[in-house]
Amino acid sequence: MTGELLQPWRPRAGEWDRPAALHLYRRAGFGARPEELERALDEGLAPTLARLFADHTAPELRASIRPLLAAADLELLQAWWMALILAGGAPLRERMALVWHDLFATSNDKVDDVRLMHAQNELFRAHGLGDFRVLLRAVARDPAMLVWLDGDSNRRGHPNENFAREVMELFTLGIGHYCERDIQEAARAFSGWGTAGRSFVFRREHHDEGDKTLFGRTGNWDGDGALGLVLEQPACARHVARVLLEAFVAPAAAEEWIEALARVLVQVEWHIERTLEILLASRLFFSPAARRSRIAGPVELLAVAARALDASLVPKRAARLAADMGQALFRPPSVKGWDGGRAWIHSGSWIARHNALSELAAGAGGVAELNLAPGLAGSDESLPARVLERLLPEAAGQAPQAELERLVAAGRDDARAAAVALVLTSPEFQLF
Amino acid sequence: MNRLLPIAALALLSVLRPWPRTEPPAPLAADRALASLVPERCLVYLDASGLHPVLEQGLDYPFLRALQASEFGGSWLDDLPVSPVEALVKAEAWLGESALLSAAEFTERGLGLGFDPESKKTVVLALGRDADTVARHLGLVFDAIERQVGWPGGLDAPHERWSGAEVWRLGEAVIARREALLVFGNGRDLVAEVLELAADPDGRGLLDRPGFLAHHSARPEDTALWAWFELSALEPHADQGFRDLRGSNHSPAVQAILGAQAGALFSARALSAALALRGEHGLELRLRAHEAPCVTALAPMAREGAVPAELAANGLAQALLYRDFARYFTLRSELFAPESLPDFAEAITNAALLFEGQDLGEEVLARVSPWIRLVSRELEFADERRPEIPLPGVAVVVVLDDERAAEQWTAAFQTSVALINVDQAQKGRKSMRLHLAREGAVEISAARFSTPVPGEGVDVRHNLEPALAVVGRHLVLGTHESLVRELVRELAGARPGAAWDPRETLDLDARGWRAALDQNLEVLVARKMLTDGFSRAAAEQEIRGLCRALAAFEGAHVEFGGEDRSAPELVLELRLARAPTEPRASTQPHAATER
Repeated sequence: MTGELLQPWRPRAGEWDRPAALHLYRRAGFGARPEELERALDEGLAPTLARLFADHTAPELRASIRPLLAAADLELLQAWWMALILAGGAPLRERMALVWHDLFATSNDKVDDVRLMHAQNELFRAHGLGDFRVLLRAVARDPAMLVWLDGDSNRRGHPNENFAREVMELFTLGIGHYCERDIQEAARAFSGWGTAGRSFVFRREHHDEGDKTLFGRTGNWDGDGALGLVLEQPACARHVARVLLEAFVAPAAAEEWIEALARVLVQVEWHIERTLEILLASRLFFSPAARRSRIAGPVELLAVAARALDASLVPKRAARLAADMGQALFRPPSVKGWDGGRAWIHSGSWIARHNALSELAAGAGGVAELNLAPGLAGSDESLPARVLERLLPEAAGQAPQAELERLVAAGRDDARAAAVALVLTSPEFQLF
Repeated sequence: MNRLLPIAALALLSVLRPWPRTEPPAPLAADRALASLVPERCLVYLDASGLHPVLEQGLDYPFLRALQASEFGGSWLDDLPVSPVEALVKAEAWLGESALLSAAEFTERGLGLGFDPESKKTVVLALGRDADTVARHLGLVFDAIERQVGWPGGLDAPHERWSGAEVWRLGEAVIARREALLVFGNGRDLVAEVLELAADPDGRGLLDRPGFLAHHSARPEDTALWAWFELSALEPHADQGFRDLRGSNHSPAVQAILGAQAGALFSARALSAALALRGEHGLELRLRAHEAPCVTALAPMAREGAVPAELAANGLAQALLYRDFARYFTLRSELFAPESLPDFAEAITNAALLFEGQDLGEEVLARVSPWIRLVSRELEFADERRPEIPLPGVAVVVVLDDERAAEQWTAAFQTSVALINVDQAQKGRKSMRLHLAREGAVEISAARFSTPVPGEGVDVRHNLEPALAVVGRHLVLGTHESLVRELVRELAGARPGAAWDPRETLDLDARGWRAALDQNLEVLVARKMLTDGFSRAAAEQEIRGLCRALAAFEGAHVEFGGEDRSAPELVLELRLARAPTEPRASTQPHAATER
């Protein structure tokens, strides 16, 4: 059964439709522009998937942050990442960078160094689709992470357990798969790992050279050794599989899905890209249980809406809107990252969501260019169907369509913008 | 018979009563001022009579010729969809004679524009050479319009006659001619009022506005454009931003940034502006306020004070300003709104920490002259500390009443660095290292962040290396030690001057600013991309356009103030850059006003 879930999905006639293609684009990237969606429908699943894995980011956009790092302005860094996401040059790479940013949550509120935050972000981009073990080791040496989790104060005789605890609890194993002693011993193994300026440094004089017993194995483990032992734990592959499933498939991953994907992860040598190639083409990914089962986070919500409307958002404004909605990039609320799911929507954030999406629909504020033509031009009786087809094809014939028809029948001058706003702010659109 | 009597009586009366005679209106007096024809309800008036020489010479006018030859003018012309020469050729073909000649003769005795914000209507008045010339040119224009719209003869005869003037109506537009006066407007009533004023030999129009005549008469002789704004009357029609600007005169921030004189400019009842083109490369804009509510207690020379000695004019900017910060504090409750007072109290308390418990207004700043010299120059950085985004340095020079106060100021500087370091340390941030240096016999207190690790980037904060020195009675406080050193050398042996002129001055070197922009071009382009959503090409185009606009000028000199505090004046002189082949008169900014 579990093996079957990850078998390639072979759509029967008519199954590779607009909702299916949009599902793939929303999850594996940040939505699709109208022409991308049409192309996906024409070409089929495999070529579309290949495009999502590709990286066509404009070098000038990628490099635009370099001269600005010296300004030490976090808003510019947030705007830059938002620009990369909105540009859609490397959909899956940026999506994975956001997943890792949430897992290895590090906030500039404490790090207070835009260059370090940028370096960590590039690390997620460089290793995010590669070998998870390499990524984990790189994160453990990342200066932003070391500042965030007090690596500099982890010294022989005075171990600081912050990093060791989060490595096990949040990054790799999850509660119940380690004991307090493992944390204490791992902290000793990581002692001496710190920063000098903006670089990683190993200070031998601060390293505890004594024997440590981790997961029942004793030795003079250093940080790399401790990470090796963590990665050997069966819970580690399951933890990473859960992260991937919750990011790409559904918020409450079933144990059988986790087991199946963890096996795949180990089989492909922890290679994230190869794991995702299987997951994103699987029956599970396209199953009814997966579709529209996640509440969209602010960044993906804005990007998906902008791409569906063929709108160009001003990056800095978009980053601010996302922050207003509860997702300030480079400033996750805690070491656990964003709670996500239902926590995205509460009374305060809902007003911010409503305002941001209405602004987008009106083509105002942060919208540099809103190109609704030709698909949404005109406001005749076909408008409701066209708006839904563009933004929410899954809801055709459902509640939003009736509301749209009433709106168009009222003959408002701003029927088109109102119709777009109605769909974007509907509860249905918040589900990806 | 009885019934015929009333009819007969009426007939008799009609014979006895004189017929109303339509007396021809008196001709327009030759010396009639154009503004006297503009209704008083026009709150904005523009007099372009001085443009006549420009219209006569067209693109050969010296200033325009020089502008075309400049880098900015050249690129601007390249960007136009139609070049000015092509446009003139087309206009000539349309009109059947030289458009410039026609315009020059139409406006030989004056050209004005009035705007009524209440009705949002505009009227343009032109006084031509004589009635025949105006009639002939108007006929040519009408012929061209008739040809264009396919309405032959439609404008041959006037559609109406108002107050002795021939009137044509083209949709909402109204064109009227009376002798050599041509009136064009988009409001029937406004044009009619102009014509009534023209028919009334005693009509005074805008001349009855208080202050108008005095300002108009006082404009420089070579004024090309002169404008009058009834600011107080415009206020109800303006947006909130304009109202805020007018109400900002009593804001401590406005007083600190603009000062009492420039701050009062936009709070005045009315404002006149005169623009003059001076030779090939000069442009002067003169703003003069009428009934400006200047805060006299803070105005120049309200308090005795020495003026800092002259400095070399080799920087990006240099200003001589009057800011009586002592009175800001001592008179705060009289001068500023109550909501700003807690901020003053906080500043006084904080300053007491730095100045041995002394009162900031009464004891510290009261012993500093209100005349301030402000200097901005490009900086030389040590290689290992050169910021990736280099910014110009800024320094202020003031005069202490007594050079014995030097130690107190030095101690305050050192204490403030220590306090900043404590605050930085609490936030886990880098602190600054305080050190003493010498320039000749003068001791300089300076602070800087620790030298960045090679290869890890030099952040913008390394532009800040604050330093303080006291040279005789001159106190120098700058954002960078190297700039303070330079000023210490320049001030060595110099004595403060005595104030005799209430004017404040500002000199800017446009080429220096362009060099500073060029240095940070990549930063500005990238910032534009991310903050405004521009593509790289569009961002580059905009920033390069700004650089080219700066390149059009060599520099600017601004003076503000004047003897009459209710009528402060701001004079802006811009010097257009010379074309590369032209000899340069001077590479220095305008020398500061001599005192």
